[in-house]
Amino acid sequence: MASPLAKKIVIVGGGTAGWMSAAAFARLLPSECKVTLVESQQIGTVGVGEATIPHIRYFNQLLGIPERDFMRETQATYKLAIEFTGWGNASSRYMHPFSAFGADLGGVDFHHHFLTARAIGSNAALDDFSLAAQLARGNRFAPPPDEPGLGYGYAYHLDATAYASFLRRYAEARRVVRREGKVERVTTAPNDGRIAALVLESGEVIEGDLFIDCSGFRSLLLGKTLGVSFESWRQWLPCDRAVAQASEPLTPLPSYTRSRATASGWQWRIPLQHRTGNGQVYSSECISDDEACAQLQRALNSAPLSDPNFIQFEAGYRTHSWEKNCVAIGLSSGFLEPLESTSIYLIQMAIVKLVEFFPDADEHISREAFNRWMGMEYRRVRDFLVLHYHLNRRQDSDFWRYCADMNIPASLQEKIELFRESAVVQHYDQGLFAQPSWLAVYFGQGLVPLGWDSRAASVSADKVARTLHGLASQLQTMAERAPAHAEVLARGGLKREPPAAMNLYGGGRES
Amino acid sequence: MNHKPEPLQHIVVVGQGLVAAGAAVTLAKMLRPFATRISWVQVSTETNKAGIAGAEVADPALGRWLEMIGLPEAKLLHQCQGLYSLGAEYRLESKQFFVPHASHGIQPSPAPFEQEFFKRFSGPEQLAFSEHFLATRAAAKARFAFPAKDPRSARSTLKYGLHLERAALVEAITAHAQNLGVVCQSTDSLQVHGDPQRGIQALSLDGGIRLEADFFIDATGESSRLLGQALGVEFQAQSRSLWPYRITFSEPAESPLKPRSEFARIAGGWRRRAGLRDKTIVDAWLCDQAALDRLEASLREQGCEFASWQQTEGARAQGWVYNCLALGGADAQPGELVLSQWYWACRCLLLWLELLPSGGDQTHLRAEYNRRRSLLYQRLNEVHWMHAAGVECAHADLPADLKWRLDVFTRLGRLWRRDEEVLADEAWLSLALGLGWHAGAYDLTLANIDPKQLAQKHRAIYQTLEREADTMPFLEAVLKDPTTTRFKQNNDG
Ligand SMILES: Cc1cc2nc3c(=O)[nH]c(=O)nc-3n(C[C@H](O)[C@H](O)[C@H](O)COP(=O)(O)OP(=O)(O)OC[C@H]3O[C@@H](n4cnc5c(N)ncnc54)[C@H](O)[C@@H]3O)c2cc1C
Repeated sequence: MASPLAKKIVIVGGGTAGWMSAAAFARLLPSECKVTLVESQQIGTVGVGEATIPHIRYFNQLLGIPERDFMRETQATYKLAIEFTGWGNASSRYMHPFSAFGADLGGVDFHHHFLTARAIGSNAALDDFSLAAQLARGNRFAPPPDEPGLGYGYAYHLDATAYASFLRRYAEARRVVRREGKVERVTTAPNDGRIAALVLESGEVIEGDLFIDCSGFRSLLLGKTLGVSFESWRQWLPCDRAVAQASEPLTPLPSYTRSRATASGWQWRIPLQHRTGNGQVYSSECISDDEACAQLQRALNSAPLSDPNFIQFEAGYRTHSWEKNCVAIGLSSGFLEPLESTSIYLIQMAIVKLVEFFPDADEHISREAFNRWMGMEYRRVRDFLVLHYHLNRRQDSDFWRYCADMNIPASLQEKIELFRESAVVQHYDQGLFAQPSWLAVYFGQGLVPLGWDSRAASVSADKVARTLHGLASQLQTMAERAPAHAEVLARGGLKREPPAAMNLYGGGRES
Repeated sequence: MNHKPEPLQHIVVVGQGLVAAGAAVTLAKMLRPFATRISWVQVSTETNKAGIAGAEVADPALGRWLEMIGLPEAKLLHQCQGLYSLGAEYRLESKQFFVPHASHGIQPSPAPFEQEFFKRFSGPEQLAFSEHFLATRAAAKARFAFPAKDPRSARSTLKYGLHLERAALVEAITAHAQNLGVVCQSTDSLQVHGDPQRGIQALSLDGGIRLEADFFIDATGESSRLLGQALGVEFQAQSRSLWPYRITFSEPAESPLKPRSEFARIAGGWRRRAGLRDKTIVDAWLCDQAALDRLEASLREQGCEFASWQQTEGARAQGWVYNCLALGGADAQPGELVLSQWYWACRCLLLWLELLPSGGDQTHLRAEYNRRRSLLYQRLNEVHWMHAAGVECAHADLPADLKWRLDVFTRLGRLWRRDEEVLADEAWLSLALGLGWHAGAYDLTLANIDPKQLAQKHRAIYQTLEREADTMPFLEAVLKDPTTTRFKQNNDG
């Protein structure tokens, strides 16, 4: 069988995307593939991107990185959920945990019973039926129990710069060659327009067979050199700026990311061991940079540790991330705001799919497969993010009124209408977010279905109340027995790391 | 919240045969506890198969369904002259291969197991992959055991399907349906009152009986009396018919009995042999009248009784319209070479039950059902096209989705993952490799591994499986007394 054509792989960019790619190639590609990474300290990285989802554990395990080393080196904390406050209406508050809610009862999905309970007056929240959410509420952390139905996934908050450095050491120890310098020019072959070489400011020429564009928003190779167009999704995701500022670490230390909606955007809070990452995402049409910064600083829960860092972006993606002999990974391929911490996941998926579809005798099919897959991933994540904006019921600004009234993608409209009518979550097997995630947002933001499963509705009120109450108290007791998150970290993290899966909810997909 | 949803009060199943019986019993089991009344109108549908035995050749999903409806499998097997099956054996001119129901149970390291064969071999030798299943080894030796629960045991990789005599199966299910309270009514005449604007209102049966209900299941086969005829939902025939001619007959039972069905390429199509305890049921799928004529002539010469009929592959535009759900042939004919019409009907019925409508009109729910049912149809139909490729149809004429999946497989050695697959990965891989598609690349993490090392590993696995298969009882012994061999374990998914 033929060996890969791409023997010389050149990565441009040393941010999270660049070093994750380099480390994965060092581990997974055959030894005959030479990997070079070019980065420019002069340009620097975007410097944000610290909240992750459980798939990152699979990535680290694939690379053979012990969790405790990783926690220490990246000052990481554990993450069980994202808390959304002020989405829906100004006072709403819900968790989107990395778990399902309850388990089906009598073959009928749990949430239908939850709806029955609500119809008879229960004021329980969906969060009450997720152990991960309960743990997060109490700033606790424990590895997922083995009991069926109670499992969950977990992820990390990490220092992105430290993670990139950590992966750099890993990659450089395994044949990746790093070149410092700014790419000034890119030369392409006159006959077919493929990228031939990078020319650095120093005059050094770096040739390659396959070029990985991890140059961030610049999209130096895919966008600028090869001219692949950017499809904007701004009409659905109108925020185009962020300001980030670090502050002192939090006590008690949360085991979740917080996302708080504000009048014209939202704020993130990401707890690390040595600091807290904070940021305000906003629409420049609604507030100025200064106002956004002031708003963020007013909301800080601890003393600032850095200057504010302003970032501009536009939601959307390149119509294809692989063109000729160039594959874009990370911000160079597209951007979806960090509302659900999906960017590092998309980087990981791109790496996995590139290795899976690595170009061999015929590059065309690899390219097509990669582009189809990543397009599907991007669109499915996009719909889920747009859902958060669209389902808001806030009346305090034009921004939120616009989001509630905007025309949304037809694929999302169908999903919402289906849930509104029948409490059914549209099913798909591929793509990131499955039933539990959609339920968290639908219920959390107050989408009340008109109907639900009549089988659940016919269970006696008493029985439903008893069953649900029993489950919620069981989970609460389990959560209360778990150690504080800070305590687990003080011990250097978990002693034994549970096996990871490419799955948001832990173990097999529960949907 | 607007209103508490009311369950459907009364569902009427219309039709005769396995799809109708299976639907009635499933609905009774799943919905009677919620006070839904189930009636079954047994309306005779014309058939020229009378008197000719047929076999239901089922994959492991049937076992799970039997458990769900509470029909004891061992007893049913006995009543239906049934056999356990570990997969399908294919006999082509140049080769023989096995498509197991099982998994291989070998964890990716990090390359998936099949990739090791793509590294070791190019071309047809890659089929060695399907030899490394306990099911394959056991079936070749006419041995069978129930799956073990202990994941360390090689037997935990087993899954089994069933071969059952279809008429006896329908009889057993009908009796079970009656026990579960299904009200059965036979009729020669059937008038359906309904129209495309409002759905079905009522049925008129023999003796002027009028039957009203809030939901109707059309299991009337190709005639599609409710969905097609009354509601005018159009049948869209497949772009080209692969094997429009079908024939079935029986042969003496093979000895010893083997836990597998057997597929062979014959002139003009495919032949499947499915063993029962007392006979073997043979089905053939043929592409033209001449092939049918030849086969019929040779059967007549042998004095063998047979039934033949024609079938058009295709689907109605929707499977659920207003208050009417069509199942099986009334809905679509994706082709039943590998997965039976009951498999297709049952997947649709379980999907409908998963979504379960309440009393009101739920257009979005219906749209979701029809969307997923269309995907299911495509997936099932594709399996048929795979069997036709290179003979009845050129690669270029395959459905686009399948062509893409095969291209990804042959060029990149990868499975293109999609929603609503019907075949397990291992089964699809074994089938594709056996039918002549070979992986043109392998997982890069294997690039620096010495093929000899892989060969050694595979030899060790093969020998372990051989030894394990030798410890398994013969199928005939298990059939005589399932309890002497091993306590029956769960056969779930
Ligand atoms: C406000 C905000 C918050 C975010 N939060 C999250 C989050 O919580 N979770 C998450 O998963 N993701 C998050 N992301 C996304 C995440 O930050 C990025 O996906 C991740 O950091 C990867 O970035 P990158 O490596 O593609 O680009 P960058 O970090 O921008 O790296 C680009 C690299 O390219 C190099 N480069 C560029 N041009 C040249 C040149 N001419 N010559 C040489 N080198 C060059 C730079 O030196 C740099 O090394 C967030 C993004 C933003 C904007």
